[in-house]
Amino acid sequence: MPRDVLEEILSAALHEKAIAPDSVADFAAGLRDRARLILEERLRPLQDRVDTLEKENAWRAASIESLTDENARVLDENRRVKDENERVKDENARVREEHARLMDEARRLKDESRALQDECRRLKEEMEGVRAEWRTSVAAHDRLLAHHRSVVRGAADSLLDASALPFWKRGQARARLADLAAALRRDTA
Amino acid sequence: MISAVVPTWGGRARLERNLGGVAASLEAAGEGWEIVVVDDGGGALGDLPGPARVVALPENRGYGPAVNAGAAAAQGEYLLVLNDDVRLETETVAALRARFPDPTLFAAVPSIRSPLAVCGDEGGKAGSFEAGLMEIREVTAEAAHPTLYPVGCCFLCPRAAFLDLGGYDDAFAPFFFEDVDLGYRAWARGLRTLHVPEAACDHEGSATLTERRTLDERERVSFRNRVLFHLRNLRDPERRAASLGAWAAFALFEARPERLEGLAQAFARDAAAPHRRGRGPSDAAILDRVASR
Repeated sequence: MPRDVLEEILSAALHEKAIAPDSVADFAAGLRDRARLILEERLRPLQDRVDTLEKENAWRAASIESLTDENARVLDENRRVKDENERVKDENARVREEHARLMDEARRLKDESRALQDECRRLKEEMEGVRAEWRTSVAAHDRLLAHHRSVVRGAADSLLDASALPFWKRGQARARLADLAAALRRDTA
Repeated sequence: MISAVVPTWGGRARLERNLGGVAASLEAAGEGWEIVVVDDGGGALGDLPGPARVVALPENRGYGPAVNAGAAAAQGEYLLVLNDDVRLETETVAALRARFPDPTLFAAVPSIRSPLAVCGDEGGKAGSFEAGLMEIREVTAEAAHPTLYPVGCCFLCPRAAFLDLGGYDDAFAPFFFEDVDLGYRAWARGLRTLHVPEAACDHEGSATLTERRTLDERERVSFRNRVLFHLRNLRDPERRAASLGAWAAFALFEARPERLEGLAQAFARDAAAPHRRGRGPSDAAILDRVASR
Protein backbone atom coordinates (compact mmCIF):
# COMPACT_ATOMS: atom_id res chain seq x y z
CA MET A 1 0.00 0.00 0.00
CA PRO A 2 2.70 2.63 0.79
CA ARG A 3 4.20 2.21 -2.71
CA ASP A 4 0.80 2.74 -4.37
CA VAL A 5 0.07 5.78 -2.24
CA LEU A 6 3.48 7.20 -3.08
CA GLU A 7 2.74 6.73 -6.75
CA GLU A 8 -0.55 8.55 -6.29
CA ILE A 9 1.16 11.41 -4.51
CA LEU A 10 3.97 11.72 -7.04
CA SER A 11 1.45 11.58 -9.86
CA ALA A 12 -0.48 14.41 -8.22
CA ALA A 13 2.76 16.32 -7.69
CA LEU A 14 3.71 15.89 -11.34
CA HIS A 15 0.22 16.90 -12.42
CA GLU A 16 0.37 20.04 -10.28
CA LYS A 17 3.98 20.70 -11.31
CA ALA A 18 4.95 20.44 -7.63
CA ILE A 19 8.16 18.75 -8.65
CA ALA A 20 8.86 21.12 -11.50
CA PRO A 21 12.04 23.24 -11.30
CA ASP A 22 10.19 26.20 -9.74
CA SER A 23 8.56 24.27 -6.93
CA VAL A 24 10.66 21.16 -6.33
CA ALA A 25 12.46 22.95 -3.50
CA ASP A 26 9.13 23.43 -1.71
CA PHE A 27 8.23 19.79 -2.34
CA ALA A 28 11.62 18.68 -1.04
CA ALA A 29 11.35 20.93 1.99
CA GLY A 30 7.92 19.53 2.84
CA LEU A 31 9.21 15.98 2.34
CA ARG A 32 12.40 16.53 4.33
CA ASP A 33 10.89 18.49 7.22
CA ARG A 34 7.87 16.23 7.58
CA ALA A 35 10.01 13.09 7.26
CA ARG A 36 12.13 14.42 10.12
CA LEU A 37 9.02 14.90 12.28
CA ILE A 38 7.60 11.47 11.38
CA LEU A 39 10.88 9.73 12.10
CA GLU A 40 11.26 11.70 15.32
CA GLU A 41 7.77 10.61 16.28
CA ARG A 42 8.59 7.00 15.42
CA LEU A 43 11.90 7.18 17.20
CA ARG A 44 10.46 8.92 20.23
CA PRO A 45 9.16 5.73 21.83
CA LEU A 46 12.51 4.08 21.16
CA GLN A 47 14.37 7.13 22.47
CA ASP A 48 12.04 7.20 25.45
CA ARG A 49 12.75 3.49 25.92
CA VAL A 50 16.49 4.12 25.64
CA ASP A 51 16.23 7.00 28.10
CA THR A 52 14.22 4.79 30.40
CA LEU A 53 16.73 1.96 30.07
CA GLU A 54 19.62 4.35 30.70
CA LYS A 55 17.86 5.64 33.78
CA GLU A 56 17.13 2.07 34.85
CA ASN A 57 20.75 1.15 34.16
CA ALA A 58 22.02 4.06 36.21
CA TRP A 59 19.55 3.17 38.92
CA ARG A 60 20.67 -0.47 38.82
CA ALA A 61 24.34 0.52 38.93
CA ALA A 62 23.63 2.78 41.88
CA SER A 63 21.60 -0.01 43.45
CA ILE A 64 24.40 -2.54 42.90
CA GLU A 65 26.93 -0.12 44.38
CA SER A 66 24.63 0.53 47.27
CA LEU A 67 23.99 -3.18 47.74
CA THR A 68 27.73 -3.91 47.53
CA ASP A 69 28.39 -1.32 50.22
CA GLU A 70 25.53 -2.72 52.21
CA ASN A 71 26.88 -6.24 51.73
CA ALA A 72 30.33 -5.17 52.94
CA ARG A 73 28.72 -3.44 55.87
CA VAL A 74 26.67 -6.53 56.62
CA LEU A 75 29.77 -8.73 56.36
CA ASP A 76 31.60 -6.42 58.76
CA GLU A 77 28.61 -6.45 61.01
CA ASN A 78 28.48 -10.22 60.71
CA ARG A 79 32.11 -10.51 61.69
CA ARG A 80 31.55 -8.11 64.52
CA VAL A 81 28.51 -10.08 65.63
CA LYS A 82 30.50 -13.33 65.41
CA ASP A 83 33.27 -11.82 67.51
CA GLU A 84 30.68 -10.51 69.89
CA ASN A 85 29.07 -13.93 69.90
CA GLU A 86 32.38 -15.56 70.77
CA ARG A 87 32.96 -12.99 73.45
CA VAL A 88 29.47 -13.55 74.78
CA LYS A 89 30.03 -17.32 74.68
CA ASP A 90 33.26 -16.92 76.61
CA GLU A 91 31.56 -14.59 79.02
CA ASN A 92 28.70 -17.04 79.25
CA ALA A 93 31.09 -19.89 80.05
CA ARG A 94 32.84 -17.69 82.57
CA VAL A 95 29.53 -16.73 84.10
CA ARG A 96 28.47 -20.36 84.17
CA GLU A 97 31.69 -21.31 85.90
CA GLU A 98 31.26 -18.43 88.30
CA HIS A 99 27.67 -19.48 88.76
CA ALA A 100 28.69 -23.05 89.49
CA ARG A 101 31.36 -21.79 91.82
CA LEU A 102 28.89 -19.53 93.57
CA MET A 103 26.40 -22.39 93.74
CA ASP A 104 29.08 -24.56 95.35
CA GLU A 105 29.96 -21.72 97.68
CA ALA A 106 26.28 -21.27 98.45
CA ARG A 107 25.92 -24.95 99.18
CA ARG A 108 29.07 -24.83 101.32
CA LEU A 109 27.78 -21.78 103.15
CA LYS A 110 24.44 -23.45 103.64
CA ASP A 111 26.17 -26.51 105.04
CA GLU A 112 28.34 -24.31 107.19
CA SER A 113 25.29 -22.40 108.26
CA ARG A 114 23.53 -25.60 109.15
CA ALA A 115 26.63 -26.75 111.05
CA LEU A 116 26.84 -23.43 112.86
CA GLN A 117 23.16 -23.62 113.65
CA ASP A 118 23.65 -27.14 114.96
CA GLU A 119 26.66 -25.95 116.99
CA CYS A 120 24.66 -23.03 118.23
CA ARG A 121 21.86 -25.32 119.28
CA ARG A 122 24.36 -27.64 120.87
CA LEU A 123 26.03 -24.73 122.76
CA LYS A 124 22.64 -23.46 123.80
CA GLU A 125 21.76 -26.87 125.11
CA GLU A 126 25.19 -27.09 126.79
CA MET A 127 24.71 -23.65 128.22
CA GLU A 128 21.30 -24.71 129.48
CA GLY A 129 22.97 -27.75 131.06
CA VAL A 130 25.66 -25.57 132.63
CA ARG A 131 23.04 -23.20 133.86
CA ALA A 132 21.05 -26.09 135.31
CA GLU A 133 24.20 -27.50 136.83
CA TRP A 134 25.09 -24.07 138.16
CA ARG A 135 21.65 -23.72 139.63
CA THR A 136 22.02 -27.23 141.20
CA SER A 137 25.49 -26.31 142.56
CA VAL A 138 24.23 -23.07 143.94
CA ALA A 139 21.37 -24.91 145.64
CA ALA A 140 23.78 -27.54 146.98
CA HIS A 141 26.15 -24.84 148.09
CA ASP A 142 23.32 -23.01 149.78
CA ARG A 143 22.25 -26.21 151.51
CA LEU A 144 25.83 -26.98 152.51
CA LEU A 145 26.30 -23.46 153.75
CA ALA A 146 23.12 -23.74 155.77
CA HIS A 147 24.32 -27.06 157.13
CA HIS A 148 27.74 -25.62 158.00
CA ARG A 149 26.12 -22.68 159.62
CA SER A 150 23.93 -25.10 161.56
CA VAL A 151 27.05 -27.16 162.49
CA VAL A 152 28.94 -24.03 163.48
CA ARG A 153 25.94 -22.85 165.52
CA GLY A 154 25.75 -26.34 167.15
CA ALA A 155 29.51 -26.27 167.78
CA ALA A 156 29.20 -22.83 169.22
CA ASP A 157 26.32 -23.97 171.38
CA SER A 158 28.31 -27.09 172.43
CA LEU A 159 31.39 -24.97 173.25
CA LEU A 160 29.22 -22.59 175.17
CA ASP A 161 27.60 -25.50 177.03
CA ALA A 162 30.99 -27.11 177.70
CA SER A 163 32.41 -23.82 178.94
CA ALA A 164 29.50 -23.56 181.32
CA LEU A 165 30.18 -26.93 183.06
CA PRO A 166 31.74 -26.72 186.48
CA PHE A 167 35.20 -27.70 187.08
CA TRP A 168 34.36 -31.03 188.37
CA LYS A 169 32.60 -31.90 185.31
CA ARG A 170 35.69 -31.38 183.27
CA GLY A 171 35.57 -35.00 182.20
CA GLN A 172 32.12 -34.41 180.77
CA ALA A 173 33.37 -31.22 179.23
CA ARG A 174 36.25 -33.10 177.58
CA ALA A 175 33.85 -35.73 176.26
CA ARG A 176 31.64 -33.12 174.81
CA LEU A 177 34.60 -31.39 173.14
CA ALA A 178 35.75 -34.77 171.77
CA ASP A 179 32.26 -35.43 170.39
CA LEU A 180 32.25 -31.95 168.96
CA ALA A 181 35.62 -32.48 167.30
CA ALA A 182 34.50 -35.89 165.95
CA ALA A 183 31.32 -34.30 164.56
CA LEU A 184 33.36 -31.49 162.97
CA ARG A 185 35.72 -34.02 161.47
CA ARG A 186 32.77 -35.93 159.97
CA ASP A 187 31.41 -32.78 158.45
CA THR A 188 34.80 -31.78 157.07
CA ALA A 189 35.92 -35.20 155.83
CA MET B 1 -35.78 33.34 13.31
CA ILE B 2 -33.06 31.02 14.55
CA SER B 3 -33.06 27.33 13.67
CA ALA B 4 -31.08 25.09 15.97
CA VAL B 5 -29.89 22.06 13.99
CA VAL B 6 -28.91 19.15 16.20
CA PRO B 7 -27.74 15.99 14.47
CA THR B 8 -27.84 12.85 16.57
CA TRP B 9 -27.07 9.19 16.17
CA GLY B 10 -28.94 7.38 18.87
CA GLY B 11 -28.33 10.21 21.33
CA ARG B 12 -31.76 10.36 22.93
CA ALA B 13 -30.35 10.53 26.45
CA ARG B 14 -28.06 13.41 25.51
CA LEU B 15 -30.94 15.24 23.82
CA GLU B 16 -33.06 14.84 26.93
CA ARG B 17 -30.23 16.34 28.96
CA ASN B 18 -29.51 19.29 26.70
CA LEU B 19 -32.49 20.28 24.53
CA GLY B 20 -34.21 22.09 27.36
CA GLY B 21 -31.20 24.38 27.74
CA VAL B 22 -31.10 24.93 23.98
CA ALA B 23 -34.76 25.97 23.97
CA ALA B 24 -34.20 28.32 26.92
CA SER B 25 -31.20 29.95 25.27
CA LEU B 26 -33.07 30.37 21.98
CA GLU B 27 -36.05 31.86 23.81
CA ALA B 28 -33.77 34.29 25.63
CA ALA B 29 -32.45 35.59 22.29
CA GLY B 30 -35.82 37.28 21.82
CA GLU B 31 -36.87 36.17 18.37
CA GLY B 32 -38.58 33.23 16.73
CA TRP B 33 -36.85 29.89 16.90
CA GLU B 34 -37.15 26.22 16.12
CA ILE B 35 -35.19 23.10 16.94
CA VAL B 36 -34.50 20.65 14.13
CA VAL B 37 -33.18 17.32 15.37
CA VAL B 38 -31.64 15.32 12.55
CA ASP B 39 -31.92 11.63 13.28
CA ASP B 40 -28.80 10.37 11.54
CA GLY B 41 -30.02 6.82 11.07
CA GLY B 42 -30.25 5.88 14.71
CA GLY B 43 -34.06 5.91 15.01
CA ALA B 44 -36.09 5.37 18.16
CA LEU B 45 -35.84 8.97 19.33
CA GLY B 46 -39.45 8.95 20.58
CA ASP B 47 -40.88 12.08 22.15
CA LEU B 48 -38.22 14.70 22.69
CA PRO B 49 -38.37 17.48 25.27
CA GLY B 50 -39.51 20.83 23.91
CA PRO B 51 -40.84 21.68 20.47
CA ALA B 52 -38.24 19.75 18.48
CA ARG B 53 -38.89 18.79 14.89
CA VAL B 54 -37.23 15.54 13.79
CA VAL B 55 -35.73 15.11 10.33
CA ALA B 56 -35.02 11.41 9.94
CA LEU B 57 -32.32 10.19 7.55
CA PRO B 58 -32.80 6.64 6.25
CA GLU B 59 -29.25 5.65 7.15
CA ASN B 60 -26.29 6.98 9.08
CA ARG B 61 -24.36 9.36 6.86
CA GLY B 62 -22.26 11.22 9.35
CA TYR B 63 -22.14 14.61 10.98
CA GLY B 64 -21.70 16.84 7.90
CA PRO B 65 -24.47 15.36 5.78
CA ALA B 66 -26.80 15.34 8.80
CA VAL B 67 -26.20 19.04 9.45
CA ASN B 68 -26.68 19.75 5.76
CA ALA B 69 -30.02 17.92 5.85
CA GLY B 70 -31.05 19.90 8.91
CA ALA B 71 -30.02 23.18 7.29
CA ALA B 72 -32.03 22.30 4.23
CA ALA B 73 -35.08 21.59 6.36
CA ALA B 74 -34.62 24.62 8.60
CA GLN B 75 -36.71 27.73 8.17
CA GLY B 76 -34.73 30.23 10.18
CA GLU B 77 -32.59 33.08 8.94
CA TYR B 78 -29.85 31.85 11.22
CA LEU B 79 -28.53 28.38 11.91
CA LEU B 80 -27.41 27.36 15.36
CA VAL B 81 -25.45 24.17 14.70
CA LEU B 82 -25.08 22.00 17.79
CA ASN B 83 -23.85 18.61 18.81
CA ASP B 84 -26.31 16.65 20.94
CA ASP B 85 -23.84 16.67 23.85
CA VAL B 86 -23.60 20.47 24.11
CA ARG B 87 -25.22 22.33 26.97
CA LEU B 88 -25.99 26.01 26.37
CA GLU B 89 -26.20 28.77 28.89
CA THR B 90 -29.28 30.97 28.75
CA GLU B 91 -27.32 33.91 27.31
CA THR B 92 -25.29 31.91 24.78
CA VAL B 93 -27.48 32.33 21.72
CA ALA B 94 -28.18 36.02 22.38
CA ALA B 95 -24.45 36.76 22.73
CA LEU B 96 -23.74 35.03 19.43
CA ARG B 97 -26.73 36.56 17.68
CA ALA B 98 -25.57 40.04 18.71
CA ARG B 99 -22.65 39.70 16.28
CA PHE B 100 -25.05 39.69 13.32
CA PRO B 101 -25.88 41.07 10.86
CA ASP B 102 -22.35 41.62 9.60
CA PRO B 103 -21.67 41.12 5.90
CA THR B 104 -18.05 40.18 6.62
CA LEU B 105 -18.95 37.57 9.23
CA PHE B 106 -19.72 33.95 8.39
CA ALA B 107 -20.02 32.45 11.86
CA ALA B 108 -19.74 33.17 15.57
CA VAL B 109 -18.37 30.51 17.91
CA PRO B 110 -18.80 30.58 21.67
CA SER B 111 -16.28 29.61 24.26
CA ILE B 112 -16.65 25.81 24.35
CA ARG B 113 -15.65 24.37 27.69
CA SER B 114 -14.57 20.84 26.92
CA PRO B 115 -12.37 18.04 28.19
CA LEU B 116 -11.11 17.72 24.61
CA ALA B 117 -9.43 21.12 24.74
CA VAL B 118 -5.95 21.37 26.20
CA CYS B 119 -6.62 24.97 27.23
CA GLY B 120 -10.16 24.17 28.31
CA ASP B 121 -11.84 26.05 25.43
CA GLU B 122 -12.42 24.40 22.08
CA GLY B 123 -13.77 27.53 20.48
CA GLY B 124 -10.68 29.50 19.41
CA LYS B 125 -8.40 28.11 16.69
CA ALA B 126 -5.45 29.37 14.68
CA GLY B 127 -3.36 27.75 11.96
CA SER B 128 0.24 27.81 10.88
CA PHE B 129 2.24 25.97 8.26
CA GLU B 130 4.87 23.67 9.69
CA ALA B 131 6.86 21.08 7.79
CA GLY B 132 4.57 21.33 4.76
CA LEU B 133 1.25 21.07 6.54
CA MET B 134 -1.18 23.34 8.29
CA GLU B 135 -1.15 22.72 12.01
CA ILE B 136 -4.11 23.85 14.08
CA ARG B 137 -3.70 25.09 17.63
CA GLU B 138 -6.04 26.38 20.29
CA VAL B 139 -6.26 30.09 20.98
CA THR B 140 -7.72 31.65 24.08
CA ALA B 141 -8.69 35.29 24.49
CA GLU B 142 -10.78 37.51 26.70
CA ALA B 143 -12.37 39.41 23.82
CA ALA B 144 -13.83 38.32 20.48
CA HIS B 145 -11.18 37.48 17.90
CA PRO B 146 -10.93 35.85 14.47
CA THR B 147 -10.76 32.09 14.55
CA LEU B 148 -9.86 29.63 11.80
CA TYR B 149 -13.16 27.80 11.66
CA PRO B 150 -16.48 27.39 13.44
CA VAL B 151 -16.00 24.33 15.61
CA GLY B 152 -18.76 21.94 14.59
CA CYS B 153 -20.13 21.31 18.03
CA CYS B 154 -21.55 24.82 18.43
CA PHE B 155 -21.75 27.91 16.23
CA LEU B 156 -24.22 30.41 14.84
CA CYS B 157 -24.22 31.54 11.21
CA PRO B 158 -26.64 32.96 8.65
CA ARG B 159 -28.32 30.02 6.99
CA ALA B 160 -27.90 31.68 3.59
CA ALA B 161 -24.14 31.93 4.05
CA PHE B 162 -24.01 28.27 5.08
CA LEU B 163 -25.99 27.20 2.04
CA ASP B 164 -24.04 29.55 -0.24
CA LEU B 165 -20.83 27.85 0.83
CA GLY B 166 -22.46 24.52 -0.02
CA GLY B 167 -22.68 23.51 3.60
CA TYR B 168 -20.38 20.82 4.85
CA ASP B 169 -18.47 18.94 2.16
CA ASP B 170 -19.78 15.37 2.03
CA ALA B 171 -16.29 14.23 1.10
CA PHE B 172 -15.38 14.58 4.77
CA ALA B 173 -18.22 12.37 5.99
CA PRO B 174 -18.75 10.80 8.41
CA PHE B 175 -16.77 13.04 10.79
CA PHE B 176 -13.74 15.26 11.45
CA PHE B 177 -12.34 18.25 9.54
CA GLU B 178 -15.61 19.15 7.78
CA ASP B 179 -15.78 22.20 10.07
CA VAL B 180 -12.16 23.18 9.33
CA ASP B 181 -12.92 22.86 5.63
CA LEU B 182 -16.09 24.96 5.94
CA GLY B 183 -14.41 27.73 7.88
CA TYR B 184 -11.41 27.80 5.55
CA ARG B 185 -13.67 28.05 2.52
CA ALA B 186 -15.48 30.93 4.20
CA TRP B 187 -12.19 32.72 4.87
CA ALA B 188 -11.21 32.09 1.25
CA ARG B 189 -14.33 33.99 0.30
CA GLY B 190 -13.45 36.81 2.64
CA LEU B 191 -15.92 35.76 5.34
CA ARG B 192 -14.61 35.74 8.87
CA THR B 193 -15.39 33.47 11.77
CA LEU B 194 -15.27 34.99 15.24
CA HIS B 195 -14.58 33.32 18.55
CA VAL B 196 -16.87 35.10 21.02
CA PRO B 197 -15.72 34.28 24.57
CA GLU B 198 -18.61 36.15 26.21
CA ALA B 199 -20.87 33.40 24.89
CA ALA B 200 -20.18 30.04 26.46
CA CYS B 201 -21.33 26.45 26.38
CA ASP B 202 -20.21 23.06 27.68
CA HIS B 203 -19.27 20.14 25.46
CA GLU B 204 -19.27 16.62 26.88
CA GLY B 205 -16.69 15.72 24.26
CA SER B 206 -17.29 13.66 21.11
CA ALA B 207 -19.75 11.45 22.93
CA THR B 208 -21.19 9.80 19.79
CA LEU B 209 -17.78 9.07 18.28
CA THR B 210 -16.47 7.61 21.50
CA GLU B 211 -19.51 5.38 21.81
CA ARG B 212 -19.77 4.20 18.23
CA ARG B 213 -16.37 4.42 16.51
CA THR B 214 -13.20 2.53 17.29
CA LEU B 215 -9.97 4.35 18.02
CA ASP B 216 -8.40 2.98 14.82
CA GLU B 217 -11.36 4.12 12.75
CA ARG B 218 -11.22 7.58 14.28
CA GLU B 219 -7.49 7.78 13.57
CA ARG B 220 -7.97 6.62 9.97
CA VAL B 221 -10.79 9.05 9.23
CA SER B 222 -9.12 11.92 11.03
CA PHE B 223 -5.92 11.45 9.04
CA ARG B 224 -7.82 10.94 5.79
CA ASN B 225 -9.71 14.17 6.27
CA ARG B 226 -6.60 16.05 7.31
CA VAL B 227 -5.07 15.04 3.96
CA LEU B 228 -8.28 15.81 2.14
CA PHE B 229 -8.46 19.27 3.69
CA HIS B 230 -5.05 20.14 2.28
CA LEU B 231 -5.80 18.64 -1.14
CA ARG B 232 -9.09 20.51 -1.44
CA ASN B 233 -8.20 23.85 0.10
CA LEU B 234 -4.57 24.87 -0.26
CA ARG B 235 -4.19 27.24 -3.13
CA ASP B 236 -0.64 28.64 -2.89
CA PRO B 237 1.56 26.62 -5.29
CA GLU B 238 4.46 26.54 -2.84
CA ARG B 239 2.13 25.40 -0.02
CA ARG B 240 0.64 22.70 -2.21
CA ALA B 241 4.08 21.51 -3.32
CA ALA B 242 5.27 21.41 0.29
CA SER B 243 2.15 19.57 1.42
CA LEU B 244 2.53 16.97 -1.35
CA GLY B 245 6.12 16.51 -0.24
CA ALA B 246 4.86 16.05 3.32
CA TRP B 247 2.32 13.41 2.23
CA ALA B 248 5.12 11.67 0.31
CA ALA B 249 7.06 11.62 3.57
CA PHE B 250 4.09 9.95 5.28
CA ALA B 251 3.88 7.40 2.45
CA LEU B 252 7.56 6.62 2.89
CA PHE B 253 8.01 6.70 6.65
CA GLU B 254 4.65 6.48 8.43
CA ALA B 255 4.27 3.18 10.29
CA ARG B 256 0.66 3.24 11.44
CA PRO B 257 -1.51 1.31 8.98
CA GLU B 258 -4.64 3.32 9.74
CA ARG B 259 -2.83 6.51 8.70
CA LEU B 260 -1.52 4.95 5.49
CA GLU B 261 -5.01 3.71 4.76
CA GLY B 262 -6.42 7.19 5.41
CA LEU B 263 -3.76 8.71 3.16
CA ALA B 264 -4.72 6.42 0.29
CA GLN B 265 -8.43 7.04 0.81
CA ALA B 266 -7.93 10.80 0.78
CA PHE B 267 -6.20 10.80 -2.61
CA ALA B 268 -8.86 8.41 -3.95
CA ARG B 269 -11.71 10.64 -2.67
CA ASP B 270 -10.12 13.78 -4.02
CA ALA B 271 -9.57 12.17 -7.39
CA ALA B 272 -13.17 10.93 -7.45
CA ALA B 273 -14.63 14.38 -6.73
CA PRO B 274 -12.12 17.07 -7.69
CA HIS B 275 -12.62 20.30 -5.85
CA ARG B 276 -12.49 23.62 -7.68
CA ARG B 277 -10.47 26.14 -5.77
CA GLY B 278 -11.78 29.52 -6.79
CA ARG B 279 -10.05 32.84 -6.66
CA GLY B 280 -9.44 34.34 -3.30
CA PRO B 281 -6.78 35.25 -0.80
CA SER B 282 -3.68 33.14 -0.50
CA ASP B 283 -3.32 30.56 2.25
CA ALA B 284 -0.77 32.75 3.94
CA ALA B 285 -3.15 35.72 3.78
CA ILE B 286 -5.97 33.66 5.31
CA LEU B 287 -3.84 32.55 8.24
CA ASP B 288 -2.61 36.14 8.68
CA ARG B 289 -6.22 37.33 8.86
CA VAL B 290 -7.08 34.62 11.37
CA ALA B 291 -4.10 35.64 13.46
CA SER B 292 -4.99 39.36 13.34
CA ARG B 293 -6.64 40.96 16.36
